[in-house]
Amino acid sequence: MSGLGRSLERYRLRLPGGAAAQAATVVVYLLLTASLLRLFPQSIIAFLLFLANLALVFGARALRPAWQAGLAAVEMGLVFPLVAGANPFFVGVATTVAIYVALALGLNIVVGLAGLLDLGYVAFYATGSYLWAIFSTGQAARFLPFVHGALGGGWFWPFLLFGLAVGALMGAALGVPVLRLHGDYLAIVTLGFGEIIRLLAAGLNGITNGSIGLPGVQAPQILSVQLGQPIDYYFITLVLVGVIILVAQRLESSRVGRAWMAMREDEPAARAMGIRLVATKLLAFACGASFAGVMGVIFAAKQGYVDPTSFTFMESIGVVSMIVLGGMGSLPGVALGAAVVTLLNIQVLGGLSDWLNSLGARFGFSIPPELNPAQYHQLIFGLILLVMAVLRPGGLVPARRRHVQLALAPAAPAAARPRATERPARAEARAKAAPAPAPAADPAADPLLLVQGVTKRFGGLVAIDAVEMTVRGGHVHSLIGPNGAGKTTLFNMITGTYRPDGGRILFEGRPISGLQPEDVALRGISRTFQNIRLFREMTALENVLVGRHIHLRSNLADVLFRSPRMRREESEAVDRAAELLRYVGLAGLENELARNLPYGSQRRLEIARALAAEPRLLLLDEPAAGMNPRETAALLELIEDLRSGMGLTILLIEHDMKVVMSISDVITVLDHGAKISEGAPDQVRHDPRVIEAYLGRSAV
Amino acid sequence: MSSTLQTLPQLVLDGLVVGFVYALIAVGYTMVYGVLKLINFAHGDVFMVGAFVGTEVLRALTAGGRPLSPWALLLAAVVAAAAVTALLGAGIERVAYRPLRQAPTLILLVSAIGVSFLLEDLVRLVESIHLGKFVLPVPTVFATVYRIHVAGLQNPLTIRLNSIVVVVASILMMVGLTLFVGRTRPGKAMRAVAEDRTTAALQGIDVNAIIALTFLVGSGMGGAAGALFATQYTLVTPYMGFDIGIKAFTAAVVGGIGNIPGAFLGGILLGVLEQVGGGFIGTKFQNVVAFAILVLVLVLLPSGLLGERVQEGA
Amino acid sequence: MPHLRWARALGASALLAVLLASAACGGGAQPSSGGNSSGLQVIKIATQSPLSGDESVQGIALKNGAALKLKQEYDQFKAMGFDLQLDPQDDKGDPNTGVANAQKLAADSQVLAVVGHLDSGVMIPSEAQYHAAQLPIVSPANTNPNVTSQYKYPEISRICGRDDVQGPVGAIFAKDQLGVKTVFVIDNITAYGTGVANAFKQKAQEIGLQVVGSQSIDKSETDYSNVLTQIQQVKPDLVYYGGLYQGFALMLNQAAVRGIHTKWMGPDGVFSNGLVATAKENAIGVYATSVAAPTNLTPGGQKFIQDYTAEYKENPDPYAIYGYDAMGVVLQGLKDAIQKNGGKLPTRAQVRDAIRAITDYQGALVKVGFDSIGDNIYAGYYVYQITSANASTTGDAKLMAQYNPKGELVSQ
Repeated sequence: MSGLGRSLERYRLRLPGGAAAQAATVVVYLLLTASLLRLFPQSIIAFLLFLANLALVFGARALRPAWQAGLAAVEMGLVFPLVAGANPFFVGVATTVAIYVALALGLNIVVGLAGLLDLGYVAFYATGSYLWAIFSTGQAARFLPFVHGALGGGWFWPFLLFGLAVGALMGAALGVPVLRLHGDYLAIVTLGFGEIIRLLAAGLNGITNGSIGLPGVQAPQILSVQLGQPIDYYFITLVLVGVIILVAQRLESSRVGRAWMAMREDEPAARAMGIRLVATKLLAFACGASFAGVMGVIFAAKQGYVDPTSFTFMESIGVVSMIVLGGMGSLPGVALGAAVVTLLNIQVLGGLSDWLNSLGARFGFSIPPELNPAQYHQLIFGLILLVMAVLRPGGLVPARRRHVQLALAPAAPAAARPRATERPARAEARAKAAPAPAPAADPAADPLLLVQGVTKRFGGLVAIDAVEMTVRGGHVHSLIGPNGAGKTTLFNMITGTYRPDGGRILFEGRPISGLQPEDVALRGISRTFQNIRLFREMTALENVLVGRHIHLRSNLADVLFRSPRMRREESEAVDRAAELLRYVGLAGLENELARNLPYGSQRRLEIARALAAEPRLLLLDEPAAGMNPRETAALLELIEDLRSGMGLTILLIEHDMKVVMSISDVITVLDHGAKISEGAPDQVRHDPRVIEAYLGRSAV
Repeated sequence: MSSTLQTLPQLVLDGLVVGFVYALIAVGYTMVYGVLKLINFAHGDVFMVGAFVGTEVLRALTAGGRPLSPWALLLAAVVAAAAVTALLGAGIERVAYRPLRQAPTLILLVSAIGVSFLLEDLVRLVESIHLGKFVLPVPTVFATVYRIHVAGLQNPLTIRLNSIVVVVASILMMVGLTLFVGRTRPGKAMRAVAEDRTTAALQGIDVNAIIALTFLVGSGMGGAAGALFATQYTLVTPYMGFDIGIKAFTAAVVGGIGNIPGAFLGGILLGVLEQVGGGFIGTKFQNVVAFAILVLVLVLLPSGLLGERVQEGA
Repeated sequence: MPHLRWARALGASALLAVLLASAACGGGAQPSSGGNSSGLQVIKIATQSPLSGDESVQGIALKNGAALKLKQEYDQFKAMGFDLQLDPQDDKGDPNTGVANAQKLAADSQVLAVVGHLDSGVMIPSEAQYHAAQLPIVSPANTNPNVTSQYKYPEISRICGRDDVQGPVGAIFAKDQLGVKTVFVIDNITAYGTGVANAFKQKAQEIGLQVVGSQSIDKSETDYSNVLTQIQQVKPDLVYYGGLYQGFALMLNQAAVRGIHTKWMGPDGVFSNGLVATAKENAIGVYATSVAAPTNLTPGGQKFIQDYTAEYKENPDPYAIYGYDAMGVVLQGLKDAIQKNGGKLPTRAQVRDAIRAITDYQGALVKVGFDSIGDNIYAGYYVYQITSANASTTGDAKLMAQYNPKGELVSQ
C-alpha cells in the first residue's frame, strides 16, 4: 500500500520537452482523439480520450497560461462541437460536467480557499433553479399579486443575473449566523441548512408546488430564436464556466483571495494583519453561492422540470468529493475532480454495466441482476473516496501556490550568502523597502503608546493589575518578567485580542482599548506572535502580501476586471514585499511555502509580514525564542536597524536578557500582573525587586 | 381539552422511545468526537449494520420450529449486533481514520463519507446474494401491547412491551458505559486521551489502543441500538442509517458534544421535541424541526446543554 | 524564435484538424450499419428504470418483465432478419441520470424505442430528449398526469392510467361502495404520492366526504406514531395513504399496535408483494386502487406469472407485468413499422408513429390503444382488497370494483 501510496503521492502531470514540443504533443493528441471520436461516435472510450486533451493542455506547463487557455477554449468550444455535436449524449454529459465544474469552483472558494466547511452548498443551486422555475412556469402568479402569467424564454438572460444575486444574498444570509462557528460545527450547520431548504421546497406547496415539482420550465430564447437543444445549453454553460474559471482565478490571486487563505490558515494572525473577518467570510459565502445560483438557473432550463429530489444532501456531498478528489484549493484540480466524479457517476459505471451485458449476451452468460455493477456505483464511489482520502489527501492535482516571477535580479540563496555583505544589502533593501517613515519632530519625547491603569481578569485571577506604561516614539521598549507575569496578556490587550476590564490604552493620543484586532492593525500597530503564526500553506511572498492588506485599496470590481489601479497596486505590492523579504534576509525564498522554511527564517518572515503593514508601532513577542546564538545575533542587528534605520518604535517581549539589555531604550518589568520596575537597562538590572522576581527571595 | 392537548401525552411517550434510540447512537458520535475531534459520518451506517445483524439473527432463531423466549431472542440479537459492529467500528478507525490523523478535517470527513457509501452498498450486496432482496421485514419479538386508560384522555395511552424493553436496555447500557468510563482504568485512559492526547501519551497511555477502544465501544452501542431499532420499527433497509444518524448527531450536539450524559439528554429531548413539534405544525415539517433545532443550538449555544465550550483556534 | 515556430505548428495542425474534421463529416455520421456476424440487423430496445438505490426493487422488476417479453419474441424478429437486443439503463430514480441516459440512448442509432421510467420525476425532464431524437418511449407505470399532459409529445405514451383518475376512483369507491363519511389523507412527499393523494382529497371533497385530517410524512420515515396519534384522535372512517408500500406497511404495523380500527386505502404504489411481506396480517382488509387488471384472472396474466417465475425464480412484483406489457406494445409497434417499411429496418419516426397508431393491443394484463396525447383509452381502474397474509398481492387480492377511464363504475 505504501509503495502505491507514495507513487500516487508523487505523481505530477507534466509534459516533457520545451514549449514547441509540448504544443506539438497537444495538437497531435487533439487531432488523434478528435478523429477517433468522429470515427467512433458511440465509443465512451473515445469520448474520455478526447476529454483527456484538457489534462494534456494543463500538463503543457512550458506554454504560457494564455496559450493554454486558448487551446482549451479551441478544444471545447470548436473541435468538440464539430466532432461530437451530433451526439446529444456526449454534448449532454459535457454540459453536466461543465455545470459541476462551475459548482465545484464555487464551493472551492468557500471550502478550499476560505477553509469554511460547507455541506449545504446545494441549497444555493436549488434557489437558482427554483427562481427561474417559479417565474417561467407561471407558479409565481399564484402567490405574488404583481406577477401575471409566466415569463418568456427571453427573461432567461436577466435571470442568470438574478440567480447570481439571489445566490449571493442567500450565501451572505447563511453566513451571518454561522460566523462564529468553525470546522465540523460549521459543516453540520450548513448541512442542516441545506436539508431545511430542501424540506421547505418539498413542503411549501404554495410557492414551490411541493414534491410535485414544477414542469414546463422555459428554455432560453434570443429575440425570436428558441434555444433548448443540448448543444445550446452546452455553449451557454461553456461560456459561463469560462467566465467562472476566470473569476475564480482572479479572485484567488488577488487581495481578496489572499485574505481568504490567510483566514483559513490562521484567523488570529489574519485579524492582526487587518483582515476583517466578517466581511471576508461573508464575501466568500456570497461568491461561492452566487456561482451555484447561476448554475441553478441553467439547470432548471435544461431539465425543464424542477423538483426537490434534485437537491438532496447527496448532491452537496458529490460536490464536496469533487473538490477533495481534485485537490482542495487547486483550480485545475477541482475542475478535474468535477469531471472525474461526474463522468464516473453518469457514464463510466453505466458503461461498464452495458459492456458486461453485451459481453454476456455475446458469450451466453448472464450477470445475476443483484451483481450488476451499475447497482453498486455507490460502493465503487465510496471506495474511490476512501482510497483517495487515505492515499492522496492532497487530491489529484494538489494546490500549488502561484510562483511570482520577480523583476529583480535573483539574489543569492539565503543560506549561501556571506554574512559580511548583509549590512550593505540591508541598507539598500531598506531604502527600497519602505520610505523611511518621517520621524516626528522629537521622537524620543513623543509618547506613542500610553497604557493607563489597565486591568485584566480571567475569572478570579487578575492577570494584569492596573499597569501603567508609556512607549515613546523611536524607542525599543522591552517588556520582561517571569513566566506568567502577564506580558502576552498585555500584548493581547494592546492589539485588541482581549478587551481590558479596566483602564485604557491610547495610541497616538487616541483610545484603542476595546477595538477589534483588525481595527488596531488599521491604526498602525503590527505584531508577531510568541508561537509563530504564519500562513503555512502560502508562500513567503504571499505572507508578506497579506501583511500589506490594509494598504491595498482594490475592491471586488477592480479584481474581477483587473483594473489598471489594481494591477499597479498589485505590482507595487509585490515589489515592496520582495524588498522586505530581502531586507529580513529571505531573498530567493519568495516562492517557498512558509511551512517549509527553517525556524529562524519563519521568525524573520513574521517580522517582514508585520513590517509590510508599515506600522508605526511594532510588537514583537519573543522573537528570539528558540534561536541559536548566530540567529539571535542577526536578529539583534535587524531590530537595531528597524529602529535606527527605519525609525520604527518597537515594543518587545523577550526572555533572552542579552538581547533585552543590549537593545532596549526602556525596560518594563512585570511580575504577577503588576509593574515592578521600569527604566533604562542598567537601572532595571540592579533593581532588587527585579532580581527578587527572577531569582526568588533567597537570592537577595 | 383541545385535540392537540389530547394527543400530547401519547406524542411525548412515543418521543421518549425514539429519543432513547437516538441517545444510544449519539453516544457513539460523542465518544469519537471526544477523543478524535472527528464527526464519524459512518456511524449512522454502523447503526444500520447493527440493525441488519440483529434482523438476521432474529430471522435465523425464529426460522426453526420451536421459538425461543423473546428475552433470549432479543439478547442474542443485541449482543450479536454489538459484537459485529464493535469490530466493524474498530476496523473503520484502523483503515479510514488512523492514516489521516494529521490531515485536515475535510479529508477525514470525505474518508468517512466514503466508508458510509461502502457500507450501505456492501450490506445491500450481501443481502442481495443471501436473500435476493435487501429490504427486510423484522420478525416480531415482543407482541404484547399495554393500553393505559388515563382520566381525561379519550384514547388510552398505548405502549408496547418492546418499547419498554428498548428503553430499559438503553438505560442499562448507558449506566454500564458511564461506569466503564468513570471507574475503570481503560475508561479513565479514554478520558485522558480526550482531554489531551499528547499528555496522555507522555503518561504512558497507548493512545492508539485507546482510540481503537473508543471506536469499539461507541460502535458497539450504535450497533446494539440498531438491533433494538429493528425490533421496534419492523423494517430495515441499507439506506436507513443516514437520516437517523444525522438526528442522533443532532442529539449529541444538543446535549453538548463530547459529553456522554449530554448525548443521552439530547437524544431524549430531540425525540420528544420532534414528535411534539410534528404533532403541532404537521408531520411534513417534522424533519425541519429536527434540523432547525440542530442549527439553532449550534448557532446560539455551540457548547450544547451540558458541554464545555469548544476551544477556538486551538 | 520559438514562439513563431510554435504558432506555425499550431496553425498547420489546426488546418489539418479542420480538414480531418470535415473529411470525417463527409464520411457520414452513420455508425456501423448494425450488421453482425450472423447477418442480422441489430435493433435495441432500451429500458430505463432505477436498478440501484432504494427504488431498485420496482425498477428491476420492471426491467425483468420487459426483458422476458423481449426474449419471448426474439425468434419472431430473428425470422424477419433482426437481432433484437435489450439495452437496460439505470436511471437511479435521479433526474440527472435519467436525462443523461436518454441522451445516450438518443445518440445510439440502434436504439429504436424505450420502455421506461418508474418515476414521473425522471420521466418528465427526460421527455424533451426523446422528443428531440424522435425516440418513442412507452411508460409502463408513470401515472402522473403531467407525463402526457405537460408537453403532449408524440414520442411519449403510457399503458397505465392517470393519477387524476386513480385518486378520484378511490374516493368514489370509498363513498359509494364502502359508505365512508370521513377520510384522513396522508402523502409521502413525493411527486407521485402527493399527486395522487391530492387528487383523492379533491374528489372526496367534491362528492361530499369530509376530510378530517391531512398530513405529509417523508417516505424514508420509519416512525408513524405522530400521524397515528392524530388519526386515533379524529377517528376517520378511512385513511388514504398516497405513497409506496414500505411506508404504508410500517404505518399499518404501527397502527395495529395502537389498536386503530379503520379502513385503509392506497394507490397502486402500495399494491405490492412487499406490503404483505412486511405488514403480514395487518395488510388484510386493505383496499388498493390500481391501474392494472388482476394478473391471475386473465389467461395471459397466468401465463406471465408462470413464465416469470420460471425465468427469475421469484414471484413477479406488480411492476414486472407493466414492464412486460409495455415491451409488448413497443414490439407490436416495431413489427407494424417493419411491415410498413417493406420488411426493412424502420426509422425511429416510423416506429413512433406505428406505436401511437396502436388501437387495440391485448397484452398479458392490459388492453392498449392510444389517444392523441398517448394515454391508454382502455386504461381501467381497479379497486382491490387484500385478503390473505401470505403469497403475493397480485395473486391473492380480491377485485372489488372496476372503473373506466372516465372514472365511472363498470362492474363490481
